Amino acid sequence: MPPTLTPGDTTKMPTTYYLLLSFALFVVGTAGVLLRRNALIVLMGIELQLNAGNLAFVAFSRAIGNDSGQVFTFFIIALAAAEAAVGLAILVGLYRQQQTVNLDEARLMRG
Amino acid sequence: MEHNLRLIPLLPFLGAVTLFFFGRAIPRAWASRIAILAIGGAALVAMDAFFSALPEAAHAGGLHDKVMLWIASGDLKIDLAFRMDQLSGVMCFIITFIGTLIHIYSVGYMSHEEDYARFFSYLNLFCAAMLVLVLGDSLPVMFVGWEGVGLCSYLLIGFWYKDNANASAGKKAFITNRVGDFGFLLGTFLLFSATGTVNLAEIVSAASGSDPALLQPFMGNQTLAFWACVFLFIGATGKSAQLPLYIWLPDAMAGPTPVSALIHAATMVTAGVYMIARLSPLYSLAPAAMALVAIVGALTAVFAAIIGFAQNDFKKVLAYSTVSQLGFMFAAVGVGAFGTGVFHLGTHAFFKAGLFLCAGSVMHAMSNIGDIRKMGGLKHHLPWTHGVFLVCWLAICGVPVFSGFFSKDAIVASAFGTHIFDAIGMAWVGPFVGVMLLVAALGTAFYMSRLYYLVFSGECRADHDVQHHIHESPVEMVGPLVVLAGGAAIVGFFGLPGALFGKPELNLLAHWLEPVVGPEMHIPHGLEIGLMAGSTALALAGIFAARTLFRGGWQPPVENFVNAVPGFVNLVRDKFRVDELYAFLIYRPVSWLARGLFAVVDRFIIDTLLVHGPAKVVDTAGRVARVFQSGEVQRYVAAFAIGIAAIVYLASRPATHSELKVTQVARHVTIEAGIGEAASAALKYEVDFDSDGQIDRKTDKAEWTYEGSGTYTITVNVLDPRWNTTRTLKKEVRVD
Repeated sequence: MPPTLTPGDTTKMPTTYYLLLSFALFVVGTAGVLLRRNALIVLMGIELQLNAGNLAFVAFSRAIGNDSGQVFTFFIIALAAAEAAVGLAILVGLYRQQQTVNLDEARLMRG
Repeated sequence: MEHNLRLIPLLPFLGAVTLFFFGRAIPRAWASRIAILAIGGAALVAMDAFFSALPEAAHAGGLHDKVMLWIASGDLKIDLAFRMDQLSGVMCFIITFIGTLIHIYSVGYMSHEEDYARFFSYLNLFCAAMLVLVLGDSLPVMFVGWEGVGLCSYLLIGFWYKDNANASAGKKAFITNRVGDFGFLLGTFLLFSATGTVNLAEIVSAASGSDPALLQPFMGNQTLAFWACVFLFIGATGKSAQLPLYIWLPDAMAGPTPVSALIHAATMVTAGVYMIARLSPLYSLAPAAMALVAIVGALTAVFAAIIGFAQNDFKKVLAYSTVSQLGFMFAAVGVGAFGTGVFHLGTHAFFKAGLFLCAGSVMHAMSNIGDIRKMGGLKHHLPWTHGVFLVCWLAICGVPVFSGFFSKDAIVASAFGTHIFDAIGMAWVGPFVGVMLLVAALGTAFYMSRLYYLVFSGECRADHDVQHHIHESPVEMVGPLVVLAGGAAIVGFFGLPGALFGKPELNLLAHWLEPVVGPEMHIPHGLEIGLMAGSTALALAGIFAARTLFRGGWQPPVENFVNAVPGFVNLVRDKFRVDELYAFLIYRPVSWLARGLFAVVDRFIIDTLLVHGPAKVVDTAGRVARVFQSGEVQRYVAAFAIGIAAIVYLASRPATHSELKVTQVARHVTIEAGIGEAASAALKYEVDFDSDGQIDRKTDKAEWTYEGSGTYTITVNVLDPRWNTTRTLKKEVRVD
């Protein structure tokens, strides 16, 4: 369905735009996670993925008129903070032991 | 009457347990003292029961002692109980008395042994088991003793287990006995199935009353009693070393000599004779089985005596002599002279124990050499031993007034005088057995005299070193020897053939045993006197022949004979190669079978398939799986992402196929669309039945009735709102 704008209503932008932005953010984040070798950048990629999810949640919430999506967003923000804390702690530990944060070199768990 | 009979086996059992577990902590002198106290205590209790309590209870089934209810299963109730009647009283007396003497002898004989306590522990355990065997009130309790003595026999034959030959001899004895034990069990089961009891007194009373359950036909035209007797006799051939299961006994000489004297001459090997005498009313119901017992006994007596001619080992000669004398006992019980069989059992216990202990004394003096070719002239070096051997030798040869004369003669007379086989048309069995026994008696006199002259007469043929060390044995060895010699000389007077003088009560033993084994057999006086003269003549002939041929060593006629028929002599020396025959018939096939089973079942099926197989599968699976476990976290994430994408796609993909099913009845049609459609609940349908462009129905299952005839096209649009796709299905129907 093509996006439609109500004339004169400058407060409303079609949901599709938000979703496209969210999709673009998610792809960038995923590419960062999969392709970058620096663990710090990978963590940043994960943050991008999470925020892409947040954006989609809020957009749908607004479009459908249901507030649950916004509640989820707050949960995800809290979760992202926790994830960043744990992830960075692991990174520090990894660096202390291996003197590197390059993921290609951190392969201790190889079978 | 109740009596504390349990003490009799319990005391030696406690001694055995004490010495077994604490033997190393107990000083040597005390180890033997504990053992002697244990068996001596048992002897005192047994004598007390025998002399003071038993005569009062003699005609009321004897003394009884129930310890507890042992097994209760359905109709089967077995008490752990002991009973002493006239027969088991005599056996108890022999076992504890000779057992005590041999314990005392062992103190001297085993004085150089390191494992002193273990030896006495086994010896005590043996006495306990043997006493359980003779005192047991039922067949299962008897069987416990039966197996117990077999175990002790195994332990003591292999006492010096570090020498492989001794350990093998122990195994041979045990396995051969197991063959017989199987027969014993079958006999027990058969008796239980017929009479519903395993209690000896109840079985005996059922047999005395000719219980029809025992006389019912069973197999091969014979009664159940016959088969029960045969199976039990198979057990007896194993335990008492009769044809064809005698082969273990000569090898059993690998054990210490006191063991040979106690277990393999005086007591354990007579268990079979005891068992048959105990069940004498049962055997009396089956004369055919008794014929079998008598013939096997007689043939064993002759066969073993012949092998005895050519043996050069002191103890081997005595071993074959034991097999032969056991044959005499079986011949006695086989022809129905149960009391006589027990009488010979008693006299044999004394003179054979004496002979074996003399062998031990000689070997002790000769630095453990047992080869009679290296002996000779020991009369002067070992005067006490020589004297004892002389008495026991005359006893076993059957020279008048010595014990063996009375018992052996009574057996031969019973064989000629029996009438129990007349009823079944086998009257020849008695005379046949009698002749065989006379031949065996002649053989016995010959080989025992050969042994005597080779060992004690002439010049010593040993090395100088050995000769130098020859010494008479210490008093704890000579003492028991002298007691046994006294016994061998006089125990015959307990079984005087009083009937000859019109005074049957002179035969004390027969009179005493009468309530258990029945009255003494009546033998014509002329026959008995003739046989006495005849067998004395045969004994003297045997002794004289051996004296001529072996006095002072091998005389020229012996050499000539050996050179004339070397094949025969070697055959006898090799014990008729029966061991080799058994090896060929049994050992080798079993061994091949075992090796085959080992290769196929153990190595291949169990090891390769069942043990290594699963390990290999898991290992291979692990090797494959570890390829994916690279340790690179980004690969995992990539796999995760691909997986998520795949799941999302599969869960929401558009319907991939759909078909339209039309059922027509005249003008009425029913359609069904969306068969096998994934997530069909999410799909929407538009159905047009009459091709007019109007949507007639909006469900996947719909009905329609055409008003006019013609050909119509049914069109169904399947819409997937999730992906905004539409597919169209069409089908034509003809309506008449």
